[in-house]
Amino acid sequence: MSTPPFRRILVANRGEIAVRICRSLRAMGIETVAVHSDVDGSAPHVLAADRAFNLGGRDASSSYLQVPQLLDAGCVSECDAVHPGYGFLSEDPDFARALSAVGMEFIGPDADSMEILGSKQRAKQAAKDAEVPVVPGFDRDTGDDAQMLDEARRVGFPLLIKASAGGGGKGMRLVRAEAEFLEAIAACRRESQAAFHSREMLLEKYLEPARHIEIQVLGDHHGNVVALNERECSVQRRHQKIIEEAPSPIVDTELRVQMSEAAVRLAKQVGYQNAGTVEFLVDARGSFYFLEMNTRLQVEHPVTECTTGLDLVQLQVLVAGGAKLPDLLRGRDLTPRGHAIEVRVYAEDPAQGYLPAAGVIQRVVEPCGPGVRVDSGVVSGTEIGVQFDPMISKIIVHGMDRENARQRLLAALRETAYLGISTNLDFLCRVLEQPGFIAGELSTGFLDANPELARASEPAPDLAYLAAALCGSLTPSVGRKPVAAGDAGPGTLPDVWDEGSGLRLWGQA
Amino acid sequence: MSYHRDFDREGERLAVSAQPLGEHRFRVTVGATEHEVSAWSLPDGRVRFELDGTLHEAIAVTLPDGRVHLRLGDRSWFLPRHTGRGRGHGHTADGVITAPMTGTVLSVLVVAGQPVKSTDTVAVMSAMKMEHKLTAGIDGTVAEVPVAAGATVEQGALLLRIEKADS
Repeated sequence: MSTPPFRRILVANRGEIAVRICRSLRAMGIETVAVHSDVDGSAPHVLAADRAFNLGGRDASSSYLQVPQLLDAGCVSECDAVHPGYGFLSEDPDFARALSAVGMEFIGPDADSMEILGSKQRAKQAAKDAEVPVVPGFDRDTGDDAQMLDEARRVGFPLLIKASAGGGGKGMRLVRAEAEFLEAIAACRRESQAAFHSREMLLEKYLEPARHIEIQVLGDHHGNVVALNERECSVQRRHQKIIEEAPSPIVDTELRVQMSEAAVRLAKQVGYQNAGTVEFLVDARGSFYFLEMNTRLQVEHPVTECTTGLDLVQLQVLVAGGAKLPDLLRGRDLTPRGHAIEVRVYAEDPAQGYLPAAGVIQRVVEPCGPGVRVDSGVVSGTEIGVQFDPMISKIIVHGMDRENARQRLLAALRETAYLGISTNLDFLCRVLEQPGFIAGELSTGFLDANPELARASEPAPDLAYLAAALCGSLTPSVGRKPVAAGDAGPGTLPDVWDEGSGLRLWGQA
Repeated sequence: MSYHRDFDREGERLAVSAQPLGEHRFRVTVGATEHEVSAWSLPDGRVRFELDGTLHEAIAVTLPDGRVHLRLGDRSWFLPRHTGRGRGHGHTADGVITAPMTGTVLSVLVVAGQPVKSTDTVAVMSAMKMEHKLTAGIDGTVAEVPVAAGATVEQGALLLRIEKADS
């Protein structure tokens, strides 16, 4: 590759995505600067970068969301660009403007298109203007609930109430009958006010069963936009994606072309630059409707990378540096190759309503092998706190077809362990073996229709105790002193550990 | 190395032990049942074993609260340690008394600041329709009682902390 467009880039994020971004930058010969909170000083994402800057604070709002500190970090470390990752400030137009004001490039779309697409109402209007089909609904909220009820009757039930400024399922309610409507919209307005400082709602007809299928797009600074195929992300809990794959089991070449063209039209309509994702609902007849456009790198971007052979972070950096897409992608066949599936490993207990789990991961074992990729943000000893998203890693596999990928993923998950906290690993394995999943019969209602997948494990059989005894005999990890949060040094734990654990008994064969 | 541990299976003590018999062979006892198995440790810390002609892979660690977190194939369990004859769950000798299982606190018999003897019953829990008496474990003073009678607690939750008497 020729000279990189930037000398040093600040990675304004944490966890797996910051690690993943640093890897690409490093391969490009670009220096990396990590930022961290007071408690993240030795986190994997800090060690993945060449230098680190302490933002202070403990929770997100006092650290990774602190624009003045981030600007300071970028200036002090003489960075010429910032990669925001996903979440945090990645979709904040004011952050992009603030960077631009101090002469640092924001690796993402320009602030104006972010602003348009960040408002569900303006985004929907842009989609209509670009002749992209939208979900039937109502998007001119005046704040009058009685009027909204009239509009709701016109749209028809079931419908979704969504916060115009929202995302991630906050300020969103499914309303199946008219009688529930007023209570639901009041709750949505409260949630949205608290989360997004906005009470504006929109109504959307609820399509069921529908699939969540999205198109990855990439725009350069010269008006070119390319679509990099679809990802299917229908397996969701509470509007949070859990399993994503590419290509979609139901998208044929014709539908792919139609959806890709629609996504490119929308991106061009708003002058979109850099990586973005146009989300659609696809109904049983194969009709698709625009949902929203995410103006950042998505969590699930690796399945696109596997099936196209591209490095999206590298491309983001190159287009941000002014490269032209026709030069970057000339001669490349972008038809999806093979099949890729990603699972998100969360620190949570699916049997308790996906309650987030907190604690120290005592032991990490991650899989590897042909077609297996792990984007992880944890190591043995990492403490999972309640102040950040409970996703700990993503396990991605690439196979020659969907069934091959599914089997590789199951084998990979059997090799995976995050010991010390509850995770959704068992749950993910059950989903991957569910007949409907195997057949590719997915919809956003998949998990609601299969609640048994989230059940608690059956009581441990004798085999489990036998396995525990063998692990205790053969591996030092069972009797080893556990890792304490933030300090794994000896002597920090009560002496009783030796007295109370199997360790003392080892000598008494 | 040989291994022995008393697990708590639904409120009952389950004695589990493994004795090496020679090259990769072990005699494993789970309660009253004895098995002879072959087992090998893998480079990533997992253990592969063969039982009745079937291969299994597992990895486990013992957690600070005394539970063993086990992953076996595509399933995982937290296996609690047996509380022992009236002893509290977890590390009683450091005065930290945690819930041996998820259940209800029936009564708390002490208050913060109260001196206790190691054999004193300090709280009673109920789970699976069985009562479990928790004893202080050490001589000292009750430092902290974050729960009250009637509370539902998760396995491993802190019930009481006792500060060791100076001696």
